[in-house]
Amino acid sequence: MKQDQSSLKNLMNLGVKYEKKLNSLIQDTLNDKNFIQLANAGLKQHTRTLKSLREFNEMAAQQLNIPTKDDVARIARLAIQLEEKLDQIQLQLSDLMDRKNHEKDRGRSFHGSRRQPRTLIPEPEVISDEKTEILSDRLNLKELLTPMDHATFLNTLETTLTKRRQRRG
Amino acid sequence: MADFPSNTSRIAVWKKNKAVLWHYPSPQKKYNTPVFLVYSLVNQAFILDLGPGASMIEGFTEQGYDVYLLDFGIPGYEDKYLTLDHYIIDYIQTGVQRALMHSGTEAITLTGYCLGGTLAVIYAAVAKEPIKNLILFAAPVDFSQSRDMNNWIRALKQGEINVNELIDEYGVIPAKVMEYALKMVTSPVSFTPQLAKLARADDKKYLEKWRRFDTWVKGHVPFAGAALKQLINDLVKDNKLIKNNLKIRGQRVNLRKIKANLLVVSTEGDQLIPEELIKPLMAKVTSVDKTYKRVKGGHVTLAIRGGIPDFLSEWLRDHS
Repeated sequence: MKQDQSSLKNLMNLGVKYEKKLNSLIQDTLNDKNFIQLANAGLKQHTRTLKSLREFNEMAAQQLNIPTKDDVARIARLAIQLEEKLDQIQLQLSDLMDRKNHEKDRGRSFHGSRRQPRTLIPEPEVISDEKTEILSDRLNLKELLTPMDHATFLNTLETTLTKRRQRRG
Repeated sequence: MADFPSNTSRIAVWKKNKAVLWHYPSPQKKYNTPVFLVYSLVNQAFILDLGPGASMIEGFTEQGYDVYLLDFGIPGYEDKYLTLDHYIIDYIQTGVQRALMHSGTEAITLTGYCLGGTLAVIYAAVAKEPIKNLILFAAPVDFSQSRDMNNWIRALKQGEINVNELIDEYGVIPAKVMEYALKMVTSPVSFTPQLAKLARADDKKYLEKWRRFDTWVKGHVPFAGAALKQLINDLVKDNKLIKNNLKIRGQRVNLRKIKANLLVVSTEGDQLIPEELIKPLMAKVTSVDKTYKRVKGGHVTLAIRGGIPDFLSEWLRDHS
């Protein structure tokens, strides 16, 4: 057992030593000026190949009437922009609610209230029965502020708007 | 993310594109100033919470700090236009604002790792938000000297090599290309980790940690092309950051504007980011309270050792 451990330790030491030597050798070769020139020429050729492939792909996609990678990326960017707009709305809503709560607190207490840790989406307030419908609307709108995928977001938004339209006749 | 769940309990407080701002609440909160972590754009952030007994985040929360981690996620082809400006202003600055709002505190301790540290430095120099402390681990800021691959850097600076067109063609640099490029700089051949695994083959706990670490090592993420071009041209080639010439969304990044308490950490065995890329920052900031610490270990040793090192614990306790 002891002999096994000793052999393993020796193997480790040898491994560390030769790994270091091998890496130095490879890095010296890679850092050689002639190699850099060669690699630079290779990179240029690789760039030209990529460019030709992309141009061919774009041309073929146009003829076949199919979207390219860039077309798909453009759609994805639209979704990202939408998400950013929602994020801004969330922040503005949060800010408004913060101000509202602050004003409420000022009204209640002469000294005001201490800042407390809070989530970006405040808990719903308890309100009287006659305001239930408005509360339901508000809850639905608050639901929209929680992280969710776009399909769920659109469904929730649509449900809320339909309910409001129906109520208004 | 990795194929194993987060070690420390957390909740997502903000999402943007692929990025998530995670909150790791402390089970026994002792300090008001939360720690805001910014990780690199090259690897995945789960290295900071690798597993039980191998998590820096767990170390922070156990000592009474609330932690916020900005995980940039894995960029897709649609993110090829993302620049450093986007990462600094739209992600880090907004993330800090959200963390301040969520925690209800007055200031944060901004902590950056590797390239995340460089981003943290740039942000700290343009920030309007209150940053009480700035902690940097292996964050490269001065690219005037380079020990390894110096001929490549020279060729790049002299314009003999121009990778802009190649990056444009790729759009987003594939994860494998990033992995091989970094491997060439640090360790092209690496078999000693396998020998270490063999030596402790009967230690289940070690093997689990080894497996998680290996997943991280091989888990590079794609790099947004526009950000990489900016990094190569502005930071490496023209060394604009340390010269105070870098501009982020039209605003000049002046390192003298950094006044937060500063702790800069470098490790002796770091093959990727040697000391000469990190230390020059100390002379460039106006922070009155600044400490430079050189410790034993490699590039990620501190992150996976488990807990937080004593010097960091003491420094944070005195500054939080």
